Amino acid sequence: MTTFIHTADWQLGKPFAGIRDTARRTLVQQERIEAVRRIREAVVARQARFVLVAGDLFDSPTPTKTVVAHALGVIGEIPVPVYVIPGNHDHGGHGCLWEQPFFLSEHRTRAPNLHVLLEQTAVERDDAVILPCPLLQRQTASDPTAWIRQLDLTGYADRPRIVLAHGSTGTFGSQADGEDVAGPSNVVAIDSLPLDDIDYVALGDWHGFRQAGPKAWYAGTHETDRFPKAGQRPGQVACVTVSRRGMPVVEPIATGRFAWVETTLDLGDDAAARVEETLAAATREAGFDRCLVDLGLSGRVSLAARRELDRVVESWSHRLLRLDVRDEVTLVPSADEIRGLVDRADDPIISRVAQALVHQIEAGEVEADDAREAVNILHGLCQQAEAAE
Amino acid sequence: MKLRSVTVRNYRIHKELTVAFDEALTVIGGPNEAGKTTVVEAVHRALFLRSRASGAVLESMRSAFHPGHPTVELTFESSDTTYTVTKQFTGTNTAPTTLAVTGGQTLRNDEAEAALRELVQTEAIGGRNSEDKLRMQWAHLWVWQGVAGADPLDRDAMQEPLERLRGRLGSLDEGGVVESQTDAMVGRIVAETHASRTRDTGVARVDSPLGKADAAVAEARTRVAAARAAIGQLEAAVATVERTDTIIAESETSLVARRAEQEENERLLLEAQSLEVRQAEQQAAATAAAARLAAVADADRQIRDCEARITAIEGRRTPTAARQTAAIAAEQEATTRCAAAQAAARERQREHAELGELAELHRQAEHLEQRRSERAGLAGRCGRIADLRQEAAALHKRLADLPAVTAADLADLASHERGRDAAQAKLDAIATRVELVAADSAVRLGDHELAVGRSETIVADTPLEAAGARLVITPGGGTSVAEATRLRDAAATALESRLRQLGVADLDEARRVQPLRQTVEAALEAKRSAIADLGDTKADAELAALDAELAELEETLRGQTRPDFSRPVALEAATAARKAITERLRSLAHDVATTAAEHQAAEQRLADARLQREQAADEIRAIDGELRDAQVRRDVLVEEHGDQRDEAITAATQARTSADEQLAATQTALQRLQPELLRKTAARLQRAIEKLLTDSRAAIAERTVALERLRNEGTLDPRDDLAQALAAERVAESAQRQAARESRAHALLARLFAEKKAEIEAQFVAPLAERVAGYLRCLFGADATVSIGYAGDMFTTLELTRPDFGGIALAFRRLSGGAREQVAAAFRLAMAEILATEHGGCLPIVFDDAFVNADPSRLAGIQAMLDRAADQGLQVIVLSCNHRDYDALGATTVELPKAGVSRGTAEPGAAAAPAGNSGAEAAGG
Repeated sequence: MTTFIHTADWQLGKPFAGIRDTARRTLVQQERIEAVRRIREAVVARQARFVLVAGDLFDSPTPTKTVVAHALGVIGEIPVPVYVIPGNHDHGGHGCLWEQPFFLSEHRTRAPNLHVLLEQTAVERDDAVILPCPLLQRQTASDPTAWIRQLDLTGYADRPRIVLAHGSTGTFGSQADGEDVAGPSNVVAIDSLPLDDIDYVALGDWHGFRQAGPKAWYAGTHETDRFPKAGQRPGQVACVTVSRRGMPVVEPIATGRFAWVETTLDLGDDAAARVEETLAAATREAGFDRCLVDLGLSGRVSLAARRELDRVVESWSHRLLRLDVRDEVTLVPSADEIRGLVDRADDPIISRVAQALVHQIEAGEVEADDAREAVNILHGLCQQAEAAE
Repeated sequence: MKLRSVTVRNYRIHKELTVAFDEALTVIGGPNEAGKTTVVEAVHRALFLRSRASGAVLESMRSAFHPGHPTVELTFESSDTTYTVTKQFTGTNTAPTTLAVTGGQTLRNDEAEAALRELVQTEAIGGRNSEDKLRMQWAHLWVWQGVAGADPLDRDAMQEPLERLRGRLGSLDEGGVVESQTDAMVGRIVAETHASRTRDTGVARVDSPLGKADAAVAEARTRVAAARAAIGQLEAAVATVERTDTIIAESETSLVARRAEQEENERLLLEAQSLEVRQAEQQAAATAAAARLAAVADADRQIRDCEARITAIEGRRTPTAARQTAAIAAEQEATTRCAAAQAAARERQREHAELGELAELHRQAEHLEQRRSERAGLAGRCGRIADLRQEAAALHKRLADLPAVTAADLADLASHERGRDAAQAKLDAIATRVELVAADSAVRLGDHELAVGRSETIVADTPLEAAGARLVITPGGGTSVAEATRLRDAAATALESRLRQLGVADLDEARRVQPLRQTVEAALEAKRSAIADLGDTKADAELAALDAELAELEETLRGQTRPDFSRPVALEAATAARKAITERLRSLAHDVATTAAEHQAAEQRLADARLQREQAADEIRAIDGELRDAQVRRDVLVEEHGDQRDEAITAATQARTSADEQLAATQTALQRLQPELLRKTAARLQRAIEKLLTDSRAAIAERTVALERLRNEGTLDPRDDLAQALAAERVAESAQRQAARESRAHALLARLFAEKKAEIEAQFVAPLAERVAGYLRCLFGADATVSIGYAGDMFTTLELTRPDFGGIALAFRRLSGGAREQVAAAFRLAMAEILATEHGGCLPIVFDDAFVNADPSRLAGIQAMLDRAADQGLQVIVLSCNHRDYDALGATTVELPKAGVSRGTAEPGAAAAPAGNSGAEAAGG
């Protein structure tokens, strides 16, 4: 019986370019390092013998030295060997980060427990045999696990055999996260593996915790890094116990702290209140300063409601780590607002301008959106004028 | 408000004058200085000038003719009430003003003035120097002289009425909305915001939100491009490393293969080179054997050739020798024949020479006889010449005996004679003539006696004696008679002298001799001509020469001793003899030619025979030489090569065959190796290896550079950078979209505000413009339109559009002087019409000589316009010095009398009564 931690897709150094505020972006980036520390706690708690990182430890094949130094520093804190293969994000090959002098130096001095597996060569431990399938290119047409099918495994006797691979199984794999275009998918043909001779397949690339085959699991990313798809459970690692010819026991352990919330609202004139309530509820558990929200807004609101909505959205945009608003709300001046602009016997010009704009909006012409905006501006100017009077 | 009547007293020219106004149309006529303007000015003063006014205004009102304060009494109607305002302009604070309501109370002074103010709705003007202010009161209704063509929108002159008009337009039921303060403020913000964001060209300003968003998008895109380029460089470097790895590996593999090929090729090449050395040696041996065989065979062939040639030469010599012998015999025969022909020819030549000499003698004898015959004729001609010479000598002598008077001389003599006779006649004319007609006794004149019937001429004092009387006759004329006498004597002397010179006694003799001389001279000339015709002295010379020739011929023939020559005795005989011998000579000449030709032919034949003989001899000599050369060459060759030539040839042939066989074997081996191909292969392989090495080195260098590029500097992750750049680009583009939407919204607002403002402004002035157009259509036709600009609470432009002017809108200032007057009048009428509502629907409007620039054709239109104004309720008062111009207006006419000092009443439709004041008052004024 051997227990180890299976994790993947740390993607340290991920830019999170969608977060415009530098301080908050740094917080989100730094949390991925902190999450590695929580893996260390899991290792200790579960007495894991080693850690397998199934690819994409780094977000990029060219991480900065800071990212490298932080990564190797926190890895060095893990008290057991850490085995890592390059994934499609931090693939090996010529000039890869794994060969960079700075990486090698930090590796040697600060994280000697880290084992970068750049070759399709079995790593034999007393308690297990690790069969690494590193990606030496961003995309490869061949199955990275193909070499295992040619391998004579008989020499490994009763030691559990663990495949370490990164790629899509055909069903699951990496996906676009709004910032990173979905890259070419490297397919891992787990069904072609000699499963009788294999005891566990540790997969990376799919960011949620998920079983991909009888003995195959995606651990998912250790800290959520995008708005997850339905059913996807990111922010965990797998604590795996394997034995030769036994079915693996796989238990997810939560390591993530940030909540990535995705919600949509169809709004009316109570738009501001609804947004306020919805976001308050969604962030209550994790805390507003640990939440990243994707808010889809639609519906029709009056000029005043729009102004109030904008105020609430602005407030939340500063509270949250990140707030993406997909604003498809249609501005529809209320009857009172229209009357307030049109029925101005004393201000014939404003009245006539407002009538013309309302006519454009009602006609649904191409310029209707411009006319709505103009009505909004006019409304604001009239309010200013009235306040001045 | 309507004016009913006005009475002025002590007002400038007017002592007292009352003018009644028609309700609608009044024309006040009268010549210049009749006081028309004074009447309407007085009305104006009554309405607007305080009675206590002083200074220049008051002074301008005072009369120079009439003592007393200027006083105006004006009756008018307002809101169905009739008022009479009376002002006496005393220039003091107590100047009286009254306002009496018909059938009602009378207000005085300040109360009256205040009530009047309410009625006319303007302030009262008073104090000093208030003329300018005064003129501005009801400036739209009072068209003073000289201002009719002024711009009715001129704010300086028309500010108050235009303000009043603006206010009135705003309250009209038919339109008249005006911009509010809120409108103005919001509109200003909209315009300023739009202008601050967008240029006139529609392009966003750089510092506007959209301009900044555009710049941000451009910057973000630049950053994205740079980040992509950086990643592209890294990816290119990776690709380079992979590519150069392949090149290096492939080069290495290929290099191994090429080097193995090179080694094998080198071995074969060495083998080929060895064979090539051997081939060269065998080739030399074979060449030498062939040379030896060729030399032996060649000598044998040369000897055989020599012998064959000797035989051939000997065959050619035999016929040539026979031809030589025959040629010698032929030459000898020809020599003999040639000598015989030569002898015969010489004999004929000699005979011909001898006969030629005889023929010459006969020719000379014939010539002698011919010359003798010619001499007889020549001697006769010489005798005739001698006779003629004797006859000529006789005639010459006769001519010498006659006086030598020529025709010229005869004329000269006649001339002298006429000179003398003329001198005589002149003398006779001036001399005194005396004629004795009858006498009993002798009468003596001078030294002689006068004969009866004879007249005498007296040229000098001459005594006349008769019958004892002695008279002295003195001719008159002074010295003239003496001069005439001298001239006559000189002429007579000259005539005599000439006659003596010619040897004749008188002129008659000369006239007789001169024809006779001419006859003799003609005969003498005939003789001389005959002598010349016969040859004269030349005939004598010819005769002498002929005689000498005859003598010489005789001498020649006389000495001839040839026996075969007998001298003929006559010409005929000589000619016959000469012809006979000539014929013989011609025959003998033919023989000479014949024998000479025969001799020449014989000589030619001899030359031919000699040539044949010499040619045969030359050929024999040549053949003999050729034969000797051939024999010598044959003997030399035989001596050189010996007699065993066949054996030598056989041995040389065998040696050559052996050498050729060895050479062929070596060549076959060499061809199998293809040494040229081996050499080319060696060069090719060398080239290929060098290229592989070069490519490999280049790939290694390129790989090194690419690896260096891949070495991460580590301060920046280019992919991170790209992600940031793309995010920034998305944000910038989103902001740009929002800014563009806002910018379009602002532009839309600005446009709508401008449009709606223009719309209400147009709507605001529409009632005014329509009224002005209504008046102007009377003048410019039904399609004339008027446009009145209104912006910022001000009337800005007045434009007239006329179809007959191409529909172009003409600004007021661009109209002609007449049109300006008419358009300004229309505008004033329209104004008055609108403002009249504040005055019970009626206002008076005064035109004082306001259409002076109108042409006659326009007058009808002007009257229609004024009539329309009356129809609209206005009270129109027209002042004109020619009120007949307004006959068609149908107006009430008030005609003021010609300049004078007036007193009376001018009722409508009648002339004002003549002034009652005395002429002395007028003169005193």
